[in-house]
Amino acid sequence: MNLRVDLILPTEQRSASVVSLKSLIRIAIIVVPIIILLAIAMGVLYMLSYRNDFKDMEEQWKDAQPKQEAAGRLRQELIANEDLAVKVAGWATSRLLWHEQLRGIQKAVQPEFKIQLLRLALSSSQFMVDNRIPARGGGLVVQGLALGENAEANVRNLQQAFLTSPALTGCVTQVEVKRFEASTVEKATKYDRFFQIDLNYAPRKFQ
Amino acid sequence: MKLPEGKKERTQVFVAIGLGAAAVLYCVYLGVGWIVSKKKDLQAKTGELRDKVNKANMEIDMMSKDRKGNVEALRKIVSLSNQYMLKPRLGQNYILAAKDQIEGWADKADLMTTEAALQIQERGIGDIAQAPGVKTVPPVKTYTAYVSFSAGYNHAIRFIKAIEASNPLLAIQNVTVQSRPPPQVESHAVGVDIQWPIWSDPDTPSRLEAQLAAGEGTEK
Repeated sequence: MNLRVDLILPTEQRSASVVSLKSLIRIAIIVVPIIILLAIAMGVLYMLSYRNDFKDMEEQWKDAQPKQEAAGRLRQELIANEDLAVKVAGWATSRLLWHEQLRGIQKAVQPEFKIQLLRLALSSSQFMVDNRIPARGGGLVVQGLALGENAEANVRNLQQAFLTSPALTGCVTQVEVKRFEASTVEKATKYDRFFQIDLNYAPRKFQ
Repeated sequence: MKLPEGKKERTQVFVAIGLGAAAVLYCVYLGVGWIVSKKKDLQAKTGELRDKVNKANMEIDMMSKDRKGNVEALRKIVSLSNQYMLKPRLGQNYILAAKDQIEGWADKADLMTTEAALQIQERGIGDIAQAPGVKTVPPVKTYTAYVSFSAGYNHAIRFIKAIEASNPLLAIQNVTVQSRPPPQVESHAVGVDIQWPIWSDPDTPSRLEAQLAAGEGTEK
């Protein structure tokens, strides 16, 4: 018969385990603050780094901003001056060389048409194309007498000559006989006719 | 340090430790949250500034090209202005300057004769067509002079050709060639409106020249 006598007081009893609660608490008391301190230090370092980046960028912006404003002013000046150059040079592109047109009219009046020109009136004006671009346009009114029995055919021939004249082609958009009536000129024969042909010119833009 | 022996006291100590640890963790959580939000805020601000700096740098890089373009545009305007735009004489008088030019062309076309009876009249200053709603004063206006004379058709064409060849900016606005009854059938009544571009502000040429000088100085 074995007899087991427990002589250790309950307060003197110790756990047989290697990891005791007490040692865990001791470790935690040291490790947890270290981790927290490390985390705070890293956070502060990151913050300092981001703040430095921001400060650096702020410095760059302080340096670039006045230069950017100067670049903006220069760009505005460039746009205004280029626009002005186009407007002034537009005078050359928008005009039509009327001496060529008048020469073209002269050449189109063939002697066999028996046409006597009485009046030529060209008028050009300025207007806006698409409400945006100023342009010049105009028209030429040719009035004259067609003499003899073939007056009507001759006026048609003249109209056709205007349409096919090398000087006028490309500039003239429409050639229309506006008037064709008996001549009231003194000494006119019963076959003589007064006529008016209107030539419309394509608009030429100031650009 | 020893833990109390009583179970109740031990529990109280553990609860106190637990509460302390929870408080510390909560503080850490708040601190981390603050750092994260601050970081996001700083990153956003830095990113915004970086974009602005990049855009500014791109615009600054364009400056030398813009400067060159500006000087080119100014050279073109100043050249056209000096060569071809009508400049007023004293007291904003344009007709004297126009008259000198017209008489030169008339001379070339043999129209400075008594028979030609050349006459020059001032039509005045007008505006170029402008887009509706535009309220700014256009920089360029028109000045028109009317010339009348008696001549044959070929003389009239020579006169108009002389005008058009002398100045690419000049525009013939209106022309009438009216035949006359016998015996003057060879001499027509001719009327021509000649239009020049002029500066709306007479100080524009000097301002442009100053701008050009400044631009050329910077270019060097």
